[in-house]
Amino acid sequence: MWHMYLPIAGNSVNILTIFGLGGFVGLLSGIFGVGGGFLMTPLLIMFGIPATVAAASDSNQIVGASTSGTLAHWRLGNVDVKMGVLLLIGGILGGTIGVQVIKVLRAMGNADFLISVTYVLMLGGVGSYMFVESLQGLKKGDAQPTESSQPKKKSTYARLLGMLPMQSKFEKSGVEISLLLPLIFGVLVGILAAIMGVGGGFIMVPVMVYLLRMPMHVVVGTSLFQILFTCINVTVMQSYSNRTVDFVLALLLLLGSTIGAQVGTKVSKKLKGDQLKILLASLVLIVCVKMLAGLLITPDILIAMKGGH
Amino acid sequence: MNKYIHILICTSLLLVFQAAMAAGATMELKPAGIEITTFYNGTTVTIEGQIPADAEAVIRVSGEGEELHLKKKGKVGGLLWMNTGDVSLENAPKTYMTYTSASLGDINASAAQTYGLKALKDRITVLPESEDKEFIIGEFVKLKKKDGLYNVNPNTVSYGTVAQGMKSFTVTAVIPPRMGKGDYSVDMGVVQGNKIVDQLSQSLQVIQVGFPAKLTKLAFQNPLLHGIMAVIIAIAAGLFMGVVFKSKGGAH
Repeated sequence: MWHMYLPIAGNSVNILTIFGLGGFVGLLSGIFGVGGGFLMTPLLIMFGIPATVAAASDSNQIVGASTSGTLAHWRLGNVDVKMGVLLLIGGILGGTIGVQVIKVLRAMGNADFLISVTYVLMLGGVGSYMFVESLQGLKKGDAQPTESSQPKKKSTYARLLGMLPMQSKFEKSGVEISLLLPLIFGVLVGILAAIMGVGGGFIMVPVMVYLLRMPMHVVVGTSLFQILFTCINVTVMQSYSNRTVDFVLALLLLLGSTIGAQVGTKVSKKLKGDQLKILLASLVLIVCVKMLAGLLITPDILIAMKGGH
Repeated sequence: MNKYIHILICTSLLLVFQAAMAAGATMELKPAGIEITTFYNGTTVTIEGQIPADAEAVIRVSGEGEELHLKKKGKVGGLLWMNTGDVSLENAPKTYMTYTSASLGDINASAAQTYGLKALKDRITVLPESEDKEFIIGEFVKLKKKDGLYNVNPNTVSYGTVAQGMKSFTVTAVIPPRMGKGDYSVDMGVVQGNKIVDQLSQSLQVIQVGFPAKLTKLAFQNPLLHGIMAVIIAIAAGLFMGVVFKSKGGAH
């Protein structure tokens, strides 16, 4: 009775399970400003959805969740459109370069090894740094130095940023940096995301916090804004080129994730920047440990279908 | 010379008698086809009929052969498990489910060779040919078993009473939802002694109807429109939820 058939995935799913799954990932999306693809795709595969359909349909549902989340954060004044657009342009350029890089790596024959190692190192490095840094921030108590966009003493990094041309004021983020900076970081994240086969939200968030020095709450809203456009592009391309978007699956996920994203925004509002960061760092570290376990433990089956992440 | 003629006549009569007995074998599927609707979650098909009283029925439900591309996993640097190469399979059946009254091995070797999972070795082509075919097919069967699409089900064929040298048989085949639309074949082997004396076959068509059929048609015949529609509905759902939560005072 509670099952629904997914015509493109070619399987049926329990409506309540998929609704719950959407709600959970939407909640994380609203709190942390990540798309959640790195969690959702493996979970969908676990429920019997083919990998390629899981990844494409997840992009479709992220469109809904990030629309819901962006709207909620917009109302709270947490979306820096100017920064988001620059990161988005960079991300698209980087994604295009990344696809070419992966072709070269595959031709060299060691692409999978490099991808796996990059994935674990990125997750481990970013997660550990965020965890330690936000823990220190929490220990300092109410001072909240990480929420401030202006460091007390200008570091070498800050001085270097000041030397770049095309300086511009980003009102919402409260920073004055070169227009080139978000563009360059966007390209770098886009390359990494394309190589790793993920949306890149969990790399983009730390980049915005630590390298662009944006306040955490604006980071979450701006990240969701950028993810919305990335996933619109991915959904249309996947549907057009590969016919792998299962709209019924996406719709079921959407019902949960759009509600989850709204609740997540409320939760996010109640948490301090450092609390948000330490929670996201924990999540990233859990995914890193899971990836590492997958690389070290002998698999039950020594072949797998091609496709997916 | 006469002696040989007698032997020839007796052998011929025996073969004709066996064929006559087996010719009586029948098989029927209820329902004859499957329709996938919006809330479809798999179904069952009852396979029943008549076979000679001293025979056993071995039934197989199998799908069309397809070409599959797989990743082979191996240890890199003696430490990390990852993809170490690509392998392709040709003519790999989408589904392969066998039903017997006892374990297939107990019936006889030739039935196991024809209807069991062992038969896949002759049916599937592994490319490149340099690959260890037995190992790859073994791992592929494990993968399909995990999905519930390949299995051997002993003790699932039940027999009725014997009348006029024939007995009825019934099997309830569980059709998993992952067994998608397509043409499937239900094959029965009538096993007497250590030989397969007759083989019957019927097709089982699985089709999508109603909403699933319309959506599949749109996704495959008009993929760009399908993609744009999926995005618009997702945005509309996100905006709608945003408005609902605003009216509840949620996001302020």
